[in-house]
Amino acid sequence: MAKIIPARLPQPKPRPAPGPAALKRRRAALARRAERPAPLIQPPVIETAHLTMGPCTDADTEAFMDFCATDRSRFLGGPSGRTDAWRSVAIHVGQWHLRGYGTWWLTDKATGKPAGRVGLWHPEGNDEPELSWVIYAPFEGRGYAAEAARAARDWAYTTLGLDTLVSHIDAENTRSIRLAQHLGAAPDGVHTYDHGAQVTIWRHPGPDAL
Amino acid sequence: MTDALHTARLILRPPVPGDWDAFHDFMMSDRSTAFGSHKDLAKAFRSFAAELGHWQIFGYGMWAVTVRGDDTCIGLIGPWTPPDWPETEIGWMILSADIEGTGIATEAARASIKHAYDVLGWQTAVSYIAPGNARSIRLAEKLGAVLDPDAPRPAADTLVYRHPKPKDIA
Repeated sequence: MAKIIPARLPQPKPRPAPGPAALKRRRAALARRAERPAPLIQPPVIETAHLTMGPCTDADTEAFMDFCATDRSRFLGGPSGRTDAWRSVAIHVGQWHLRGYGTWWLTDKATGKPAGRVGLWHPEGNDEPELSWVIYAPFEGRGYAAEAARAARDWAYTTLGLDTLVSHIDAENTRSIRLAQHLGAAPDGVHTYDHGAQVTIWRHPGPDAL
Repeated sequence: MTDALHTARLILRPPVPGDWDAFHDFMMSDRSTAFGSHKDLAKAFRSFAAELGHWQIFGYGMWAVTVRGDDTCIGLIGPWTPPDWPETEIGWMILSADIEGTGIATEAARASIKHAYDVLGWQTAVSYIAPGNARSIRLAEKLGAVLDPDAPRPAADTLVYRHPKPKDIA
């Protein structure tokens, strides 16, 4: 990496302490800045029959932390406490900035409630983006995961121009395996995580096959 | 959201995706042994993504420290407040070895603490430090922080350094 520090750093200049008027001006400037929205990379909003797929809200964060407290999160490394669960939310939010793609937060249109998190997960160490899905307990068995996964897969193929996608699924996660089959995916080898755990790679049909 | 903090020598700005290279090089180096992402690419990616996510979720987070006139991120210093975190924390990662002994980390940490008190309205600030992280302990002490043995902490062996309160810094 290039050397980044100039050989001679500028030395701090002694500055007079600001008076009350200067402090007031400074506070006002800070308040004005606080009102300016930040430029952020957000997931595009996608509407499906029963779901709105969009960026993460406070309600999504709360619902995900609740989900992670339950045994339903066991295939994501749970159950976990709120700090760890929040960290997963922050990672997925930050991934959009780093990759330009990521996961969507699902809202059930009928009730307005958070329903899950579905989309592309691609941390360093994985060779290719993975289509992943989480549906919260109250919305299980309605086909929501398939609905959102199809929409995310279509977006990846049409907007990103990907020609293939995989899902990593634990051999004991029978519900997810059924969903992968339902989506037309087929086993395509094994992925070994750094910590040693192994999952089946399920490869989805490419855009030409859909 | 505050766009940036300016000090005599530095500009502290929100981290951007382009800071990944500096973060990555630090985490893969021998200087990051105190961090869970040390020499672990998968964990380092998650840590850096979480830095960006923290900013988007709360509108503040650890600042990318840059020297005026050079936008390269040489450190991440500032607020870290996940839910259920025991207290409001000022964290730091000094990415560049070149700034050791320059007072830059102290200058940046002071600015971020002042911003946390004045703008974010914090009443107290702590730093959680791995035992044995001598460089980090020196920085905490230079900032006037003192060991608080009774404070709650995220992990049993973590050291808690409490910074001077707003009323105690001019």
